[in-house]
Amino acid sequence: MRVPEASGAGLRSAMRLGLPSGNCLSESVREAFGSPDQKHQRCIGAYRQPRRYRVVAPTCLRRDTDVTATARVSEFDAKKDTPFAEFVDSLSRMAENGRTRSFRKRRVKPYRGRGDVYCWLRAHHAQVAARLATEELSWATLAEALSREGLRGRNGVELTGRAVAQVWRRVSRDVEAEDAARTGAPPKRKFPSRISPDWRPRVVSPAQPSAGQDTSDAPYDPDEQLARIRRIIAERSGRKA
Amino acid sequence: MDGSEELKKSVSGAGCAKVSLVARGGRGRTGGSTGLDLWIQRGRYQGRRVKPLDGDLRSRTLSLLYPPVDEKKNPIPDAASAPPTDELPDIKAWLSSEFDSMVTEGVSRVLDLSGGDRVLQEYVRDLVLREFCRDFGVDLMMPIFLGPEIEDFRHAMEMLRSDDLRCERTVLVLNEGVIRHGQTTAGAFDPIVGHPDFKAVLREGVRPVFLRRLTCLSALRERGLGFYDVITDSPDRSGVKASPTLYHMTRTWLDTFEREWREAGIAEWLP
Repeated sequence: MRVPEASGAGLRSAMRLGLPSGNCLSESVREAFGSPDQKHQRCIGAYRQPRRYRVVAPTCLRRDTDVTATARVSEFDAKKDTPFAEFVDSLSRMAENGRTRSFRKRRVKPYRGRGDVYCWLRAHHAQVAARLATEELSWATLAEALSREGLRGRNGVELTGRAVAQVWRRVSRDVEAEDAARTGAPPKRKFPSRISPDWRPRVVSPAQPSAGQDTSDAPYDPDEQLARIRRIIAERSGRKA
Repeated sequence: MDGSEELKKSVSGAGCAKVSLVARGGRGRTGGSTGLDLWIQRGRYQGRRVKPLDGDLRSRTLSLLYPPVDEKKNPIPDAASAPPTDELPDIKAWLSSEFDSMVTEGVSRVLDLSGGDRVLQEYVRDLVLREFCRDFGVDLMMPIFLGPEIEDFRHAMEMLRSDDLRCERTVLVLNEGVIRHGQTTAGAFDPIVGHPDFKAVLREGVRPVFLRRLTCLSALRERGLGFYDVITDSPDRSGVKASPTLYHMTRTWLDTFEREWREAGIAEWLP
């Protein structure tokens, strides 16, 4: 039986021509192939193109879900020579850094208005949280691990431990809120009120002078104060006042 | 008696007639936390309750000096409080919670937001802090610590120009403790004191004070001795009392501090 998808060429043609799903191309496979879902692509890439390496930015965190099918096909055309090079490249890096890779890969979902680091941390929240809890992971180490994944900060700057820590706080807060919403529990209050229900404001008469005013009898003289400060400075510097 | 009962007892026995809020402004690394530490210790020595608020999450000086529990894990009353993160909403929520407690419990607060003037400015604007303090009978003081850097001074002037970060009790503290080795006091502070802006803010009611260097400060901190522990002959953590030299230096420093604030006419502003 002829299986055109097996060679990859049939699959690319099908994508470009937009063949109906009645073809031997399964709709689900086609969807997966045309989507930015790197999980499927990685599997295919790893199987198909094990030796084609190219230095490119990782696309696993690309937030292009709103890209139209046409645009996707054009992009696909542009890369048809090395359709899986990016993922093969990431595999090569994985092999090089095999010893230092710390996290099991998970599918990284894009979140609107959020950066790549946020998306990555949210996808790997459980793993990162577990290691932070056992103190086997520092922010600097985590920043290095993310850099190895090809992630950069805003405007392409190198990630720092402090920056990652800040993003992590946002991720933890959102994950916590998501969990609370899922379980139907009321949101956790960070600042419980300690005010007694019987409390009433203390009435203060506006005419009442403050503690400072009723004891300082002498009127304030800025020149005298300046002279006093100068005198102290001169004294402390061994000068004659 | 467990720790919580002890806390309750001290809260119910507060009875403080005077409630102060000291909100430190200005840049970091100007010795502000040490100054605030001195005022907290002074207030407590004089029998008033003062709670430190440590918004400086980088150095956490006040949190380290006023931990929530002792070595035996017993809670310490009026320990330093800190926001959960250094993000603006968290800091604002923390400040609101602490100011609520300040008013309801009648306990003074000393706030260290080192380098956090933007946070303070926003919060002051949101809450209308001066009016809040006036309505609830809280004495608000804003000390700005100055080191030898002229940038510290420029920053302070910027802050004072903003009406939000100014109150009737604004103090410029010239801190000798942070001048560099080899630099004289005059070399450090003459450019500041001679600056026309300095004279201008003094004419507008800002009070200047001078805080002398305490050379044995690090020795006291290492031994966990407070300033007033030394002069009351209290022992440190290992049961050893301060030596006569430490006693004399600390005593002289505290006396000078009191005299200078008295001469400036603002000793009553302290918490």
